[in-house]
Amino acid sequence: MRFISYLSNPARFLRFSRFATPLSGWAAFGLIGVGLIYALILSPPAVEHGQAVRIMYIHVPAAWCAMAAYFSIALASLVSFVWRHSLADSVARSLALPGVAFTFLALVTGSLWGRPAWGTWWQWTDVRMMSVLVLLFIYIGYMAIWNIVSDRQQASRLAAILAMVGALNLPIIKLSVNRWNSMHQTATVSEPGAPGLALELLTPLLLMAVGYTCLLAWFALRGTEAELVQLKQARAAKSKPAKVTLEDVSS
Amino acid sequence: MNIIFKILKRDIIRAARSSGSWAYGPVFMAVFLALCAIALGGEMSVLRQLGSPLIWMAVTFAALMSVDKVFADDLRDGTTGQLWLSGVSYLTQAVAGLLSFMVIYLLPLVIAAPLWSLLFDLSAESVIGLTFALICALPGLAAFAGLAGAITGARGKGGFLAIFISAPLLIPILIFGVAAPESYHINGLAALEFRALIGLSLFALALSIPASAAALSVNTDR
Repeated sequence: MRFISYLSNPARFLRFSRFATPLSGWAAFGLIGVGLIYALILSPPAVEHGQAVRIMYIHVPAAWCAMAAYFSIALASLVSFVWRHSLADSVARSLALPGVAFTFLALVTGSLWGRPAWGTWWQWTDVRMMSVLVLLFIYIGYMAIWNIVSDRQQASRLAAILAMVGALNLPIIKLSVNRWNSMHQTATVSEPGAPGLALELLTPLLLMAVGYTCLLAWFALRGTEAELVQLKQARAAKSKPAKVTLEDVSS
Repeated sequence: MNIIFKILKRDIIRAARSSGSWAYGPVFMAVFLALCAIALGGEMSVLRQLGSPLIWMAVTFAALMSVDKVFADDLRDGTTGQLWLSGVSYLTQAVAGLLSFMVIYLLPLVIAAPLWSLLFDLSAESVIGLTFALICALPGLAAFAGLAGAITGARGKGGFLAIFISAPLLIPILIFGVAAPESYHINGLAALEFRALIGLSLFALALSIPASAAALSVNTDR
């Protein structure tokens, strides 16, 4: 918490982001690059799923990061709603675009996985799929508020309300595979006592997951920097002071 | 409590004098359902199966189209701010707004639904199940449509925004609502879907009333 209040000062944030932004960007580039080489070439095909297992290296980190992005948006919205830190708005706003992209990626790759593994592209009665689709719609609504409401302060507070209401979808996504009937398998890696993965499959998965997370961090930092510049420009004087006074105008 | 009823009474009087803006919803339903029946080829065996889902769609769309009636007028002419200045909290106004929206704009839809179901030749049991499901879901529909209305405020481009906001929230209600008439055939009023709808409605109210109040306060201070 102290770290967050430290960063809520724009000048300190810019000092931090000066090295954090390129660091996360290059880390994302390197990790996803190495992860892709591992995932597509070096790692062996799985016993049950064959080559289709390579979809998982794209799908699972995308789904994790889609939820992580939404959780961060909801948290940043809470911070901005309660303590009125305007940087929190910028962070939340910049996370929406990668969030919706990751959600879409998770849905598409999940659908590609579903065809060979479960024999269907899409199942309308499956709670996991429906709740992730709802997440996509909530993201769209969140971005629509930012686009349509012209006053920045109102937009940030209204978007924050929607983000906090929509956060109730996250536990539904998480629990959907345990509580209700779903074709989706339950957690393999992320829970204590879960079965886990063989090391040669786990390595590319974790590389990709950390890489995606760095990409998310890069989007948040870079978007916040860009917004700070925009706000600064908006505050700057719009035009030069007038040189002609009323007395000079001939009537 | 008193103030809630005063606002409700004011809204009812205003709707009664408004040359029938409360009737747009049921009329829209009739037009939409007639178009659906024509587009589906008019085959009764098909229409009988699709009847209750189509009526659910019609009710949802009609509710979404009257979203700008919930809080927009009061926000536009400054009544919301004036009421707040005279000590009526945003929470009270949100409750009153949702209540009057439910009574004036959604109740006619539910009353019209059994009539329009004649278009699809639904069995009596399906009609009863459908109507009861709509009644159970009524507060939930009002709550989420009201939240969308409160967030949209008095903005002109609100229609799309309202749909984007409330569509994801309405999905669970639609899922259980469409399943309810079929379960009514088997389990009667004890069917799981009705309890789920009531639960979703209560949940929606608990969520939407404070959120709408917060959105109202954002939309009044400029």
